[in-house]
Amino acid sequence: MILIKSSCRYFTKHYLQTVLALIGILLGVSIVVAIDLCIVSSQKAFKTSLEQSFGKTTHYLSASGNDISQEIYTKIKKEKQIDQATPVIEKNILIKTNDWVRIKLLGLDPFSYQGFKTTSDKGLDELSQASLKDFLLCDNCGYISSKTAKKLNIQKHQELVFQHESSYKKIRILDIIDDDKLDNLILVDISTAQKLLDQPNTISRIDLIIKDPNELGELVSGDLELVESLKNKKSTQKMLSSFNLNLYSLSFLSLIVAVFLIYNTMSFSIVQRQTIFGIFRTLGLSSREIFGLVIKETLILSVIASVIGIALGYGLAQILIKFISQTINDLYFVVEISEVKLEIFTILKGLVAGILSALLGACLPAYQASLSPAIQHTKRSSQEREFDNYLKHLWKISIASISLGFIILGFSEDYLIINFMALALILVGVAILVPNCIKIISSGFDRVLVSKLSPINKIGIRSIFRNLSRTAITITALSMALSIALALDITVGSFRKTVIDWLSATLQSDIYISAPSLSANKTTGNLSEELQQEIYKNPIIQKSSQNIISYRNNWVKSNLGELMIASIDFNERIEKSFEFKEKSSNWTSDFTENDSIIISEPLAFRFKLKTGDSINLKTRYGFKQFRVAGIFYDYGNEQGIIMIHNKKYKKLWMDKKISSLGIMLKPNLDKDLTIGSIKQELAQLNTVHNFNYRSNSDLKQETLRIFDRTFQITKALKIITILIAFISIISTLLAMNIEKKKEYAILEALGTTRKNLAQITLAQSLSIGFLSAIFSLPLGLLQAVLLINVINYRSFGWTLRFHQDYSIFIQILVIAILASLIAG
Amino acid sequence: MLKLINLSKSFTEADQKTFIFENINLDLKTNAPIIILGSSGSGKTTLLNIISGIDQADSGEVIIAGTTLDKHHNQNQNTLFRKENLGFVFQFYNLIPTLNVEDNILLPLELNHKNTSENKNYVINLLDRVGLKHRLKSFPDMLSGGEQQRISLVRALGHKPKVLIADEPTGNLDKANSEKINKLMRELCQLNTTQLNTVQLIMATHNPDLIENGDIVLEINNKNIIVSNAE
Repeated sequence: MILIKSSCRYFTKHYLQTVLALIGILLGVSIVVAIDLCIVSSQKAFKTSLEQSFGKTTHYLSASGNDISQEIYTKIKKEKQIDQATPVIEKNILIKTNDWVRIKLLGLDPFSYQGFKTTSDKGLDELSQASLKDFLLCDNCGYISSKTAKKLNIQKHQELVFQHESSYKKIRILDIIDDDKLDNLILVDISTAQKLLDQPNTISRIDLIIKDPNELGELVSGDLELVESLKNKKSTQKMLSSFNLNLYSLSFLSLIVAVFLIYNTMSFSIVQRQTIFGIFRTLGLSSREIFGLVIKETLILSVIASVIGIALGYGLAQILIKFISQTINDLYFVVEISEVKLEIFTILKGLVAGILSALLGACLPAYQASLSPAIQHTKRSSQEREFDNYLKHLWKISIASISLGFIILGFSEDYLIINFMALALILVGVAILVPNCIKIISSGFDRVLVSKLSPINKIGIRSIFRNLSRTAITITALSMALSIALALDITVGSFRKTVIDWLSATLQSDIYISAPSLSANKTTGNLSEELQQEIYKNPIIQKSSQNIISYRNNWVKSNLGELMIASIDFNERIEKSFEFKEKSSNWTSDFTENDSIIISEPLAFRFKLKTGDSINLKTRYGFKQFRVAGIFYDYGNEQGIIMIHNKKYKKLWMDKKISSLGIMLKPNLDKDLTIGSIKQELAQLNTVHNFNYRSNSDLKQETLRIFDRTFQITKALKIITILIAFISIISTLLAMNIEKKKEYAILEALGTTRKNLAQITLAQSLSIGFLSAIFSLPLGLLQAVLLINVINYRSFGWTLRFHQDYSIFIQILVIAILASLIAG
Repeated sequence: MLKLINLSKSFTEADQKTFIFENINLDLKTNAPIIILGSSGSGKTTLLNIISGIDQADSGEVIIAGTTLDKHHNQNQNTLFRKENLGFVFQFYNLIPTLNVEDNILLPLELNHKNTSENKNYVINLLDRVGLKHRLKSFPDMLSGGEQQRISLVRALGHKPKVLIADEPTGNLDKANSEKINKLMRELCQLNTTQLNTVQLIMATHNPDLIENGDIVLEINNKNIIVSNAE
């Protein structure tokens, strides 16, 4: 107890140093907790959404995303005598409040649904007892949960305006039910749903509770398929895993920088207490007990920091959740995350992350402390000699770590988490080369630059090289943080540039018209036939267009699971819009005439497909084999897409719907003027039919807006990492100044002014900043190469072209100098 | 009681090996205070460090408080030995600056797991005896040099060691304080002796004024050791 008292007094006496170390850990922990909370909340929201959709359902009958005839349900009940079946309509709609809010319209049949209810379906119980009559008879009426009512700011009996595909409708809120399972949806009777969605004889799917999938017999034919409900859950969750893992990894990068900060603080506290440890050793404290004491101190500090970090992380999550849910909505599926709840598992994760990283940082200093000799005063110079000895071993550790990292990368293609670990090994391996590099350059630096400076500046800069045991770690930490910032900038910049180039090549039409979509990167809705007719007949469009290209996006079943297919009208301009990673020599004729398709790079990556391989796709006539004629670059979605000629798609799937249209203008027209007048025409049409229309440049801008939105979270994490490194500089300067109190007192006695002393500190901090920026460049470039070519490719299957904007290097230099100036 | 058998210690400088003492032998069967006398750099602190197990000899054995310290005795065993059997007083007091007087003097009891109320009372009585009970809650940086040394004397004897090792205990004090500390040191050793243990004082000093009648004086001279009885 007395020993702990002694430690406590030390840390309270050096409170500034202690607070900085605490901030380092708590920032690291807060990021980990915030990211975890966001991911857990999005998964929970997704799970709730699935439970709302499936309940006790074991299987469901659907038609690959298309609606199915109501007659099928009658057949199941009457012919197959299956009692446990219920029809469901489930559609995403947009509710007009101050802004457009995504929500689900769920149409159920209250009678047949009884058997599907789970014990937690209290809202539906209330419904069946109290107001079933109203539910069935009231025109365009529905129920919502109290949370959703609050979110939409609506009261009982009020009306809501919603948009589905091309039309606007109204719905009246019959009652507000206090049931979380009804969050983010409007519950209506199935006939109401049919009426509201203009689908009088069709339903979305039929939910079933069956033991044997063969019970349905011949009913499962054509485009109808029986899907296991759990499988759906698993496959969708799998989609998110790479995204989540990338977020987790980013958060852990900040924690690595925090580890350096802890190392710095603890090793400083140990050097300062070398005499105390010496007395302890003389009085009979064993080296193991000294080691234990430092570890206990670290544990106490890390627990305090972690607890604050968890609280801060909870706050941060409330902000980050908006970015993350937006990204999930943009890239994966529609999910509305209503709240972020602090779970015990997340708290534990935060505590473990904080404690482990602090212990990792304190291990070496604790070991150094345990070696404290009894009562001998360890001089700073002997500390430096010891560090010099460490440096000799550090070479070996560094090379071993880098080699091991590359070996693992070479053998772990399929395991993303192991890839990240390998990246961390390489990163740490290269980072710990920094102290040795500083040592190597120090003499040259001294000869060329320092020797020419004034004595005051000499004192400042030379102290950096003469106190390597302290400064090297700070320079390493700052280099790491800057390199992370640089690598993220280069990676995101390369990605952005690749997407811009890809958009320029791919978007050949001048105006795009598409069905309204709830997810930014997938247009699977349809343009109504009336609208198509009006567009084709419009005189201005007719006069100015050279071609109108139609696209149809749909989900199809295949031997590889459900895949997105896009059918396209093919012409010379479209042909040129594809940039291929690999292709067969006669891909154009194969694609137009034969049973060939082309697939996007992420799809090829996901299923390890090459040109010449085959995929079996379920058409209206059963499964049919298609040969892959080429693999094209595509950054539209990470799940991948199959491209098929419109002619073949229409024939084999008997689907004449159109998801979007692309108008190619005649050459020699004033593009801006023509686009302007076509937009005016489309605006008029849009008052009757609801659809999206965008010019080529609008679409590019919109895509880049979504792109930038996706990477906003990366920016936030980058800033926090730099902040931790910045704290590291302050902490080091503080440590050095406390250590040099005596030296400064002598200097003052010799006539050095306070201004001169400030100049020394400034010279020190600027040297730290400059050296860190220099070392961060190769470190950042290496990370960027690995992130682009290995991690990104293995996560999403995208080939990105390395693009470096030289202004990023200047930015990094400026950040480093500014951070060190402020710290100084 | 102290026995040195063929004890040698050297240091190497610029590849040149220099012996501080070589193959020295000593067998003292008395509990009288032992004073290691010599000027700065004569090797008295080195000898004291070897006797207390802080440092290791190149060769030979030390038998102190019934324990043999030799090359086979590792650092951890030495630490354990020191904790139980030795008390230390240093030139620069070496109180723990982050602990107040009370915690400083109770620290050896805690390290030896002897912090019973009886032992605590004993230590507080010792503090009273050196006239500093009123400074119980003060921190070392608020005490004068003489006060700090008296506190360190209490800390050294609080856990009732068999030997009190004092390395230039008055080296940092004025004449009056030096005399006071020397007197207290001997008194408290005597007090311990009569009550429970036999506390032997082994003191290294350059100051011959600290030698009293009946002390055994050791001097290192030309790599050898000369023993004499003070009269």
